[in-house]
Amino acid sequence: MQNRRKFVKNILIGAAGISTLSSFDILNVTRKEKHVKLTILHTNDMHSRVDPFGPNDKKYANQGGISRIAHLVEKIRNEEANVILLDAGDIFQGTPYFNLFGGEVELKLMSQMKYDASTMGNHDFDNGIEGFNNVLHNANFPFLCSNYDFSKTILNGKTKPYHIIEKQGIKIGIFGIGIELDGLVDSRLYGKTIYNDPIESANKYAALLKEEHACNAVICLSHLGYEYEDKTLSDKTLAKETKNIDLIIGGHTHTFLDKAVTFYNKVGKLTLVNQAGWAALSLGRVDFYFNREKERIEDLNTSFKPYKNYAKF
Amino acid sequence: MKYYFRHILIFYLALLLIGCKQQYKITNSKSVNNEINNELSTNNFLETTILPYRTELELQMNEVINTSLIDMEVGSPEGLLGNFVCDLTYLKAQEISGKLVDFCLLNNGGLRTPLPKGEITRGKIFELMPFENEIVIVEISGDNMLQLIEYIKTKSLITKSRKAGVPVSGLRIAINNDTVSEVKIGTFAFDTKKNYRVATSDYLANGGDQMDFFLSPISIENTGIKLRDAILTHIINLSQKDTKLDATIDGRIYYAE
Repeated sequence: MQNRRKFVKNILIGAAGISTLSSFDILNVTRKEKHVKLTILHTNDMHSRVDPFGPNDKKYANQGGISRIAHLVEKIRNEEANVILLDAGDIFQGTPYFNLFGGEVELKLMSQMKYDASTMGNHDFDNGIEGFNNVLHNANFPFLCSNYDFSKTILNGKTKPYHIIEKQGIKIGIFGIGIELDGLVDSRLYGKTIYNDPIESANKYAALLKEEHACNAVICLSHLGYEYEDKTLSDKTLAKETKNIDLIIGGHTHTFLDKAVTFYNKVGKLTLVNQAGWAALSLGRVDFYFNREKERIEDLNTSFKPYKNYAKF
Repeated sequence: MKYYFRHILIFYLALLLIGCKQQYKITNSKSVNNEINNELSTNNFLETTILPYRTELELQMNEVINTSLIDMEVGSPEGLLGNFVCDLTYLKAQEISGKLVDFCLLNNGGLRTPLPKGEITRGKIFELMPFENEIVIVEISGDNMLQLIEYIKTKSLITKSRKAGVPVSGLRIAINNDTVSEVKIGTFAFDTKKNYRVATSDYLANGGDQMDFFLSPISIENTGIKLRDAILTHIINLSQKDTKLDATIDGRIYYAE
């Protein structure tokens, strides 16, 4: 009995010693930290909404604006330890800021807000790939395009198929899926861009990130759109037809959701889909809790609930 | 003591092994999207960056690019604003295309604000045409032309709704009671056996405003010119020639007695 007590005491002393001396995360976590929280903030279809809507706008008078998003992001960064900020495309077009400055302002502001990554939407081709290339140096974050092949264009090597971020021992793999440009964007604007199958590309990069790079979470930035009445490929279908994706951050359909919606993926695991309206009128947020021991406990929320009465809009 | 130390060592080695095997995985998630409303403050750092651009933008948007002699509004069966925009669009399409353009057709719904008599700013033209629509030239069959004429007639018989009227240029239509009594394209009578090349916006060419007659075209020619840019260029060109903005109701669509 006496010996046993001594043994426990020694362990405690040893633990204290190791934890103060050791900088190995692995020991720290095993010893006491039950979970790591990751906060994912995201926007989509900001459409050059540098300033809020004007006072005479019929629907969104005085609402929105990128500077207000920046304020909220900063507030959340002060509250949470691990924050990443992402965008799902269509940064450009919608106000004279784009017409006059070609996207320079939008990318500068996003860089100041410390965006971690974005993907390209169809409107980001509005000044052609040359126009995009001309202002790209204003962005200090990567553009992730996994199914647009720019190798025969001037954008060759200037976007990335995927990107990995580490936060408190958590590896987050991110990739980007773009919408079919043919019929949506003038072919003169996208030039020799090759469009690869979204589901194939998504499965390829999600597997690479989760299996080979051992990412703890895989996020897809998608500009496919949340859902359609016809069979057009949407994020809902993408979620159901792929595996290894934990969260799809969508855009294009300007869908206001009050929170992320959960789907079963191809192998019966959970994939969240979220979208944050448009025109800097909403900041999407998903918090993931990571644990080494527990199994997933969250409830399913498979019903589609677009926020019809999005506050006073 | 040595004995206990060995115990501790084994214990931690075991923990390390367990630690290596157990990957972090998502066990729970929470999601709340935040509305960006006017109760939120702005970010000073960003505002500083925006300021010079905003100043430049306001300067450009407030620049007076010409003066209008009259108030121009959309109307039915004709309106001054529709005539003004269609005439310049027709000219621009003809200038860009190598081939003959027969006429121009747009929609009143796309002209978002009246042009007032007096000074016209660049910003006013952005209000008039906030969309990025491009001018396209759609070649359609005589059969589709019949649908197009029927569409104009139906809309021209309404007068007070926002959906009333169809702005055109290079086309002349007489409506007698409820029937179309005369159709002239340029100076020629309409021929159902001919194909016609119509300047319009890409939005309408894709069937916008129920313009289904554009949906089975013989050919489509893109001009790559935005409608707004065409309007701006025209107005600035006129100003350089000391010509103020003017438009007339000339009976291009009229009710025949």
